[in-house]
Amino acid sequence: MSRLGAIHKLWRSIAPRTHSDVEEEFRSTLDSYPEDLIRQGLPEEEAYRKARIDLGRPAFQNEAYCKAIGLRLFEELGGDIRYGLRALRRNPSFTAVAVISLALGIGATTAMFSLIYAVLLHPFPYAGADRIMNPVMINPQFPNEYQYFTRSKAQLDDLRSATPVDSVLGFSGRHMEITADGLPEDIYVTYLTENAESFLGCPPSSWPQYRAVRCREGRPLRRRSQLSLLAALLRCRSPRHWANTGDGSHPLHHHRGHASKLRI
Amino acid sequence: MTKPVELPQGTLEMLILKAVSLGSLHGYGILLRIQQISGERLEILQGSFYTAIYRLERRGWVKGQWGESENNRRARFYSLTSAGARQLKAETAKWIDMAAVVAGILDKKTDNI
Repeated sequence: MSRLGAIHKLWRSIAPRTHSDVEEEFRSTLDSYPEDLIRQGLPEEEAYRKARIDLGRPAFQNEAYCKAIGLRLFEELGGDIRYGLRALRRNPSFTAVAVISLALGIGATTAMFSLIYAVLLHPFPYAGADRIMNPVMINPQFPNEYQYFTRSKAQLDDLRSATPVDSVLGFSGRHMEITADGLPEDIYVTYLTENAESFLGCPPSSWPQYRAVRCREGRPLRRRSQLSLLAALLRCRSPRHWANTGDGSHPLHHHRGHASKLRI
Repeated sequence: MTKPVELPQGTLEMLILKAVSLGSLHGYGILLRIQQISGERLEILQGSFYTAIYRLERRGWVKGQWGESENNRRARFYSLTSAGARQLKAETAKWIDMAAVVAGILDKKTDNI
């Protein structure tokens, strides 16, 4: 059965009678009632007039039917939609203006929301993003100036063993050059410690501004698919890092220093 | 001229069930039968009648089937379903009980209380 047929069957189970069914039944009453009135002695013209007044028009009976079976809202909605479509067909210029206005309105609203979502609302995809802290040093004389600092591996291990710290992610960035089939490209690369995936709690493919490249020691980085990067990571012994490229606008990447995930 | 009377909700449905319990009838026939049984003391408005019968059919208390009327016209004949018969029995008992209670209250005189 086609999808249209299934919808029709479902509708028939909700409203078993068609409009013509309802009207036909009503017409049989509309025919019998004035005949009775004539038999009771009413003039023919008067009998038909009274029947029309008492019974109303057959078309209105459909409204009564939809109301009785609880589908009046759908009936009215369908009527409104049909009326709207007829009006649009009659006035093509008005239709064009309405469609263009709607398209522009929807487009502008979507663009604005996308911008607001990307800039203000978009949450980081990392697990426990609200627990990720980037420690800085603050000089009391200049409290608004943050000083990012580097740490050695031993210092990182110390920080990792601190009770409030769940895990520590080290990162540092630098400009590098990648070559593909075309001209070399200057990119900003962030080196991450091995635990980056478990620290962030999501695969590299979901990191903002992530672009997979494969590392070759002593050679420029060459663009490859994410899958080959993961495979290379599994095989590669040194250096073991993932390269994350971008314009540095993401807070986790555009500060040089170390990030620690604190358990509060 | 008849004076319109507001019947309690559900009364018309009960009367329709009673009418079709006596035999299969088309819409206008049900109207006439109710009027006939009431001794022409009850006149039902056509608009409310059809709304009631659509509702009864929707609830599965009456079943409609197309047939031919005594005037050789195509008409929809209604008959009582088993669910409708159960409903009629329950409604009748409820109505008789309620009517007896109300009548009992209205019959009371001051010296009888």
